[in-house]
Amino acid sequence: MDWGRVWELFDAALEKPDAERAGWLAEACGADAELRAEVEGLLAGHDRPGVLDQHAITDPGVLAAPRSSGSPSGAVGPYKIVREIGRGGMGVVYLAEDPRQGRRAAIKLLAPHLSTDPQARRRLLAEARAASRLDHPNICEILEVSETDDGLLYLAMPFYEGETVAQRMTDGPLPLEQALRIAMQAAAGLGRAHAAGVVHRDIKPSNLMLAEDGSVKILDFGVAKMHGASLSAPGVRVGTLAYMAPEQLLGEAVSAAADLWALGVTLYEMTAGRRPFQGDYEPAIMYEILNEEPPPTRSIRPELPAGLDRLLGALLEKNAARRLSSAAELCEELEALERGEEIALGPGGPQNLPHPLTTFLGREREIEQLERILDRARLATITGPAGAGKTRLAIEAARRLTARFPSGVWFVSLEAAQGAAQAAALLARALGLEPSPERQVFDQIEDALRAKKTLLVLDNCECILECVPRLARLLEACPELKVLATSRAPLRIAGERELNAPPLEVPSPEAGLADLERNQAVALFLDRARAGLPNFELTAANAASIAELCRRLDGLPLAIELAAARTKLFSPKALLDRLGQRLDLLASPGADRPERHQTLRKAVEWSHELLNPTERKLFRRMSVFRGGCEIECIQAVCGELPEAELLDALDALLQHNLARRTDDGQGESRFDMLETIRELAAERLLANEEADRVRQAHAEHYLTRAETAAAQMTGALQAEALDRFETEIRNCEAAFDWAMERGDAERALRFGLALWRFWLVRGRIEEGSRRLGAALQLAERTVETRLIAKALHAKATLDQNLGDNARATAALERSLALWRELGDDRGLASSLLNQAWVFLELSRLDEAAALSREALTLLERLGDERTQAVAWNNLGWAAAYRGRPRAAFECFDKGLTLRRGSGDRRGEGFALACMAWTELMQGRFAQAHRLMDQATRRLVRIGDRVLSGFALVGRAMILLDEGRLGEAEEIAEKALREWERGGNRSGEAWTRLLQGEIAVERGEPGAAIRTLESARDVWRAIGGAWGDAGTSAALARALAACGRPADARRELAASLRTRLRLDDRRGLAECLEILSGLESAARPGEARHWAALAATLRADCESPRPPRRGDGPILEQAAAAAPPDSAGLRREIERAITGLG
Amino acid sequence: MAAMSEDNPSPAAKAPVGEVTQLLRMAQQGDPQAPEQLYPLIYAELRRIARRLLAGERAGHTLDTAGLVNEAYLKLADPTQNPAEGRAHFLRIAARAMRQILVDHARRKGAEKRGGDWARTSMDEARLGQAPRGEEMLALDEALNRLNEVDERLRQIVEFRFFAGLSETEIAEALGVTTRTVQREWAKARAWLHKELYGGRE
Repeated sequence: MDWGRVWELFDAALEKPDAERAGWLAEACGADAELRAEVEGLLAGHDRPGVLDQHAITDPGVLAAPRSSGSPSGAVGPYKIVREIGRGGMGVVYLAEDPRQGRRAAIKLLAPHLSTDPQARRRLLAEARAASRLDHPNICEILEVSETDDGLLYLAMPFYEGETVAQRMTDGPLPLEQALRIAMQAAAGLGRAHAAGVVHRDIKPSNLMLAEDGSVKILDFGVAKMHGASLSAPGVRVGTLAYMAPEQLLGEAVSAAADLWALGVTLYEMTAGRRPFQGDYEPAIMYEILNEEPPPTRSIRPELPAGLDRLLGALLEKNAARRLSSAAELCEELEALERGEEIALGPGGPQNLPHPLTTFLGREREIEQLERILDRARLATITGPAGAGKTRLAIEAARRLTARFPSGVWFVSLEAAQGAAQAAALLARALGLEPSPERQVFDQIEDALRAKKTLLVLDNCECILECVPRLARLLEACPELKVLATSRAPLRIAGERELNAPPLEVPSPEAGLADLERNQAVALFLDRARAGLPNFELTAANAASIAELCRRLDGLPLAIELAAARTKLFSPKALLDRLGQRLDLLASPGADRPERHQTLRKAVEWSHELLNPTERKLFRRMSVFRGGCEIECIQAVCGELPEAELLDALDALLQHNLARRTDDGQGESRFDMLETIRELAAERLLANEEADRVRQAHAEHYLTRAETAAAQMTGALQAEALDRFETEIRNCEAAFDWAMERGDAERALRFGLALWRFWLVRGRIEEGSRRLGAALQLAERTVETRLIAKALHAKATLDQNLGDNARATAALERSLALWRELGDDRGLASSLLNQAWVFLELSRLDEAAALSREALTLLERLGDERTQAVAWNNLGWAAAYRGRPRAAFECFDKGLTLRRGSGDRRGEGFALACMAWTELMQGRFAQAHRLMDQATRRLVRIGDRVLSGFALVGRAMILLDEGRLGEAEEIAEKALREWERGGNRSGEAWTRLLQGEIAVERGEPGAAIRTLESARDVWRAIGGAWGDAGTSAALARALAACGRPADARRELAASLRTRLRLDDRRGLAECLEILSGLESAARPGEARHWAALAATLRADCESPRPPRRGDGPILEQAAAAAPPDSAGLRREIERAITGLG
Repeated sequence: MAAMSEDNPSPAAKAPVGEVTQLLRMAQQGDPQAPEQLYPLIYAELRRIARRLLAGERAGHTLDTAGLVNEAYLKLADPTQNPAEGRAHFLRIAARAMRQILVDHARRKGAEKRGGDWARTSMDEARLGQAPRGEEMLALDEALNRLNEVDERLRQIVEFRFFAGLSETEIAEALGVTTRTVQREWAKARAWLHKELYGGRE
């Protein structure tokens, strides 16, 4: 092929106009068919769009992705590979040489998928840094974390000759002493890690290395959590699965306790020679871990001591709150076991005491005092200035007391509570209650704690001084409750015993070296200094300086810690010089505070001054976070700093005790500051005039997060979105408050709109309504109309759930007007449906149905299936209230299909529960139960109090009609608690009505009357006529059974009247049955008449009569006839009403 | 104390700027080894930059490959030392590296498909904004090898323009021709490749 010619022709052909091209080419090529074909082909190729018209690479990820696997050619970074040592789910481990240092190293090359995702990388680096600072003989050092040219991440660790515990175990169980010693060392390492806020998450025999020198090294710190995702690879899991704690398997919050579980499993395996939880495939093992108790080791090897099984029992406790979770304690117990002594473990109650960040020193005397105080008194308050270590003292004391409080020891930090409402919410949350409208919170708490032996540890009570009287009442109402509080000043409740937490005893100037070693303050100093310099010693040379330092710092633990954190840089003498100068300065502003507070303040200021400018910036800016934050948030607020610098600065703050890190249980690190320090940092921020800018950045960041999360709160990812949001809520609310302060109505409203569903579902309804209301007031005309309309709608929903239908209607009317003004059909449909729901509550059924149908039309036009489901739901309720279960079922079913399609689990659950109800009305109990099962499964996961309550009530209703009264009552109780926590009034009313009916069935009419009257109060308060009528009917039965026929007749008449108005045929049938019962003795003819009418109505509704106490032969034998028309029915009912007088 | 070494540099970055400049000079002088030595250095740098972009870039942005290549050049070579020719060598190698990366990626995705079966499906407008499918990439690679037999420079131009995303002006500079020539050559190369890939028929 003569390409020159081809191209020539090609070029020329392109110059010709389209029409002529073919002809010209034919001529030019003449007889050379091949040539012509070639050029024609090229011309066709020219015309055709194809790959070369696209961008080659649109996604940088393609370019950035590292080469696929395969051993690196001989080198990883500076390390020369010698050979492969092992492989795992996370990557490959090689033996390598470090030519720079002339030593051997183990290189773990991480799998590609862990290296590409930028989020994963960032986290990995942060975690590895944290791990690399865990300087401890039992934790495998991380020499460096870096990446190859190809972008694969690797970790370099020292290479230890030796074997892993897994390898050691291949020949069978280990001798007891060896196993204990291994466990002890592992526990020591874990203790250090946990103290620094690092949880390993993957402790297992193959991660415990036995080095040549006999020491145990824990491997894979800091990276174990990274391969959470890769655990889904089959085969990889089983090996690790056997060591996972129940909460890990269930995907719940994971804390240090999980590491101890895993260590327990390892200890079991080492001593017994087999794993405690076995199985050939995953589900089997998981089942065992979650449900079965392993056989005692003594049953496998009788020569093992009894104490071992007791210890293993404490470690393999399935409930993490009850599990032994302090590595230090475990060490002690292991030592005791080794010495052949008795184990001191008692069955402790559940507790949530935080893990100490540092080891606790001294204060034995104070702890004993507290124990004695709490023996006799109900309230012990530890008082003292900031930095005196009150919190630590309280936690330690509480820890020692867990055995005395079988119902639990609960710690609540009221540290940054802004106002009584938040404080109350925190308290309720710690107890596992969902806080509801403030007025009920303490009631809830009372209910929860009554008659239970509990210890509440309330930290930083300054914030709840307003609630002190309520706290006093709480103590009165719960005789078995004791409270240990910390506060800057006593609470002044009767019966309070105060313990002033003195600062640590400082050494006297004449103290000799031996005395100094025993001194508490000095001991604290040494301990902290060693965190940075492991070999730091008290010597004759530095003794005097250290002692003086402690004196100058007034023995305040926090101040001492701040100073000691600097020993890497400054010798004690240097510290004394510099810090001393500082302390000598005249008091800073705020000099009216007591002296001791000044000391701490100065210590913090001094520490602050040692920070470099970047670190200071970070320190200031972190003060805007409430309840801690994640690293991304810090970046958002310090945007201009490059990541590496930011991480360095954060490290510095952590090391110098100015900030702390915790594991949030989901594998993310959270960072926060002690409140005292935060306040000082906030002052700095103000002084720097950056406050507004930073708070702005904070607000913007959290607004974005909130809005993103909000989008997911309605979709398929609801449950996860809600959980994640819990940790962020305080920051969001702080940002909301800031917006309000600045009069930024728009932002405040946007926050409200992002947060309202969360508030609703987690039962913080009143608070939410109040916030939105405040923002709306602020908004007036300055804000976009749409935003206002949406906010009104949201507020109305919240108000409805509170049972405040009047307010809800007011808000809805306004929003409807705005939507019409905007011509926004979607918004209009939503608000119409909301209003319809209010009408349903008020039993204005026709109006409700009409509005729902109007909305449905709009929605069908918009093609919005998810909201159509809501309309169908409303129509279903309207039908159900009228006693037309079949029609109702069909409406709910339509809704269900639509909800399934849009992945709305919550809606699905709700629809199924409603359908269960209609099945119940038709007397189909088995189906009702089945549907309710399905509903419950969906609702429980979401943690939606309102709907779980509803599901429970529904279940109880089925059981009542089946005649299973005991069960019905039990479930009704549960439902009531859900409603109370969630703060939903009509749910509460419904449940009480049910309880009343149950009581009547049980032959306890007196109790029934009381319950029913309180139910009726609530119905009337919210304007729920339907419920009111039902309650009246039930009351009629109860009163009749009590021998109060006149009252019974009156109630019945009321019920008939309302039900006639509502056209609730099923309800009318029920009333007529009761009437029949009332007449059966005196006027059997009438009784039969009413019974027949009732039977007729029931047949018409297809809703059979559930068997009831005292039904009698008349009802049982009543036969249905052709149903009367509306007018006829009306006449009959009116006759009945008149007859009742 | 355990060293937290995030700045443990990998060999390429450690290479003083001079090394790359040196190699480029040697390549200019016709040293056959030089391009081979340059290749891994440039390859690594491109990836490094891409990763940085990945971290900062919001999703959905089309990668500015030309920018990437230029940045790599500035980073590795000393512009003052390298006359246009040196840059041309650099670009050549960079373009080859980009092509290699993409092909590796496509292969890794397991999209091996011999022949043009997939090509029968029409190439609709909608796909124009998206990245090529894996199997297309592999077929293109093969076709490029064949094009190289026909005319090296055409292959070169495709690498410059499609893989490295360089502009016509930049390509013209690198090859020492006019932009008009570049346009014409590109049209030829494109036509040839599309004919190979899509069978020359609609």
